[in-house]
Amino acid sequence: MIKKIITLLIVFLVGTSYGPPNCNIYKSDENCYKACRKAEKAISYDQGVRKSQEYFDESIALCPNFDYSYYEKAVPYAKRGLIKEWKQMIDKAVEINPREHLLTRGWYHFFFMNNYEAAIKDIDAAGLIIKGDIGYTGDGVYHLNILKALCYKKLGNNKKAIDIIENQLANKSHMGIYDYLHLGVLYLEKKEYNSAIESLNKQESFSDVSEIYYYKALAMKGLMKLDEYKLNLEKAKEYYLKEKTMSNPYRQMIDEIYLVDIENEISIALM
Amino acid sequence: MLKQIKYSPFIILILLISCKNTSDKQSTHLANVGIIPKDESVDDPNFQPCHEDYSLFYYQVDNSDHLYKGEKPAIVKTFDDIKLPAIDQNDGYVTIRFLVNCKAETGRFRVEQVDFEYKDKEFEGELVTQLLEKTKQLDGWLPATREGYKCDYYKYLTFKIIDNQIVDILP
Repeated sequence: MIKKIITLLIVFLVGTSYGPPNCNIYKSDENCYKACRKAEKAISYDQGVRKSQEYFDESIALCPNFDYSYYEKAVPYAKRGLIKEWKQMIDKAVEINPREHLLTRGWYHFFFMNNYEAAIKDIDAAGLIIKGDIGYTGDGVYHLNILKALCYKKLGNNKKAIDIIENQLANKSHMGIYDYLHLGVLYLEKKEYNSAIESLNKQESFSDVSEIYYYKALAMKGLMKLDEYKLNLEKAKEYYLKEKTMSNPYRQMIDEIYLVDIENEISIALM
Repeated sequence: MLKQIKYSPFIILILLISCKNTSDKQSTHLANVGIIPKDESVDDPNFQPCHEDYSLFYYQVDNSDHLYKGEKPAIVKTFDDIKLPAIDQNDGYVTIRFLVNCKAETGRFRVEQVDFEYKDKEFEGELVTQLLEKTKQLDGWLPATREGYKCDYYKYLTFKIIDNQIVDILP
C-alpha cells in the first residue's frame, strides 16, 4: 500500500515540478494575466490531452514570454518518448527564465535520457544563477547535488561522486531517500566493504528496501563473511517479493535491482 | 469489447473528454500527446487495440513495474544478441514507441532518431532496422491493469547509442 502511494505521488510530482503560477502578479500586464488564466485552465485537464495543449497554445500566443506554459506543455512529451518536441519547448522556457527551468531541464536530461553530460551542464549553469541551496528534483527524490554525483558516477568518476555525496550528507538539514544506498554502492565498487556496510546500514532508516540487503550481501562476500552474505541475499529476496524495493513508475533507478539479480547471486552463493 | 473495462466514473470521464475533443477538426494536436493513430500504410492489419478510444501510458497503470516477464533484465537480454560494427560518431538516441493491447500483443511501432542535442538525425547502417525487429519480437509483455481491469497502454524503449553500440536502454 505504501509503495502504491509513493508511486502515485511520484507520477504526480514528475508531471508538475512546481505548481500553477500566481496570476495576480501579472495583473499589470493584461495579456500576460490572461495567459496565466489560460494556463490555469490548461492544467485543469489531464496532462497532454488536446484541450490542455490548446490552452497552453492560447496562453503562449497571448504572452510569448510566459515561460510556465512552454514548460508545462513540454512535460507530457518527455514522459512519452517524444524528446525532440520536449526539448524545443523546454529550451524556450529556459531562454525566458533560466533561474526557474534550468534545473528541471537538467533533471529531465538525467531522468528520461541518461544524458549525464547535459544534466551536469544545466545543474552547474543553474548554480551560477541561484545563490545558496539549489534544492531538490521536482519529485523530491534527490537533492540536485546528489543527482550530479550520480551523473559523475555514470560517467566513471566515482571519486568525484563520493566527494559530492559525502559533502552533501555533511549538511545537517539535508534529507535524501536513497543517498546512503548510492554511497554504499560507490564504496562497494571501490572494494571498501566496511564503509559500504556502514553506509548501507544508515540507509535502513531512510528507506528500507531490498537493494540495501543485496548490496550488503556483496560487501559481506567481499569480506568473506559467507553466512552473512547468504542471510542478506535471503533478506533481499524476501523484501523484493514483498515489493519493498526502489521503484519508480517511469524508469529504472540507478542501483535498482531485479529479482533475477538476487536469484543469480543466490545461485552463486549456493555453489 | 468494453466488457473488460467496467464503467468507473474515471473512465467514463476520460471517454467523454475524448469524444468531445475528437470532433474538433481544426486542432493541430492529437487527442492526447503520444498516442499513435492507426496508419494503414505501415501498421500490421492483424493488430487491434482492445479499446480504440481509450488507452493509458505505461506509467499510469497499476502494475507499471511489472509489465514484462522477467522485468527489465529480460528486455535488455533480448538486445544483447545485436552485434554491430563500430561506426565512429554514429551516436544519439533511437526511440521506439508502440501500443500494447489488453491481450499483451504489440503494434503501431514508430521510430524516432535524434542526436545528443535531441535533433533529428538518421543513423547509419543496420542499427535501427535491427532495434525495430528485436522490439517487435519482444513477446513477454504483460497486460496492464487499471482499477483491476485490463487496458491498452503505450510503451516506448529508448536506446542510447555511442559509436553504433547500445550503451543503455531506457526507461
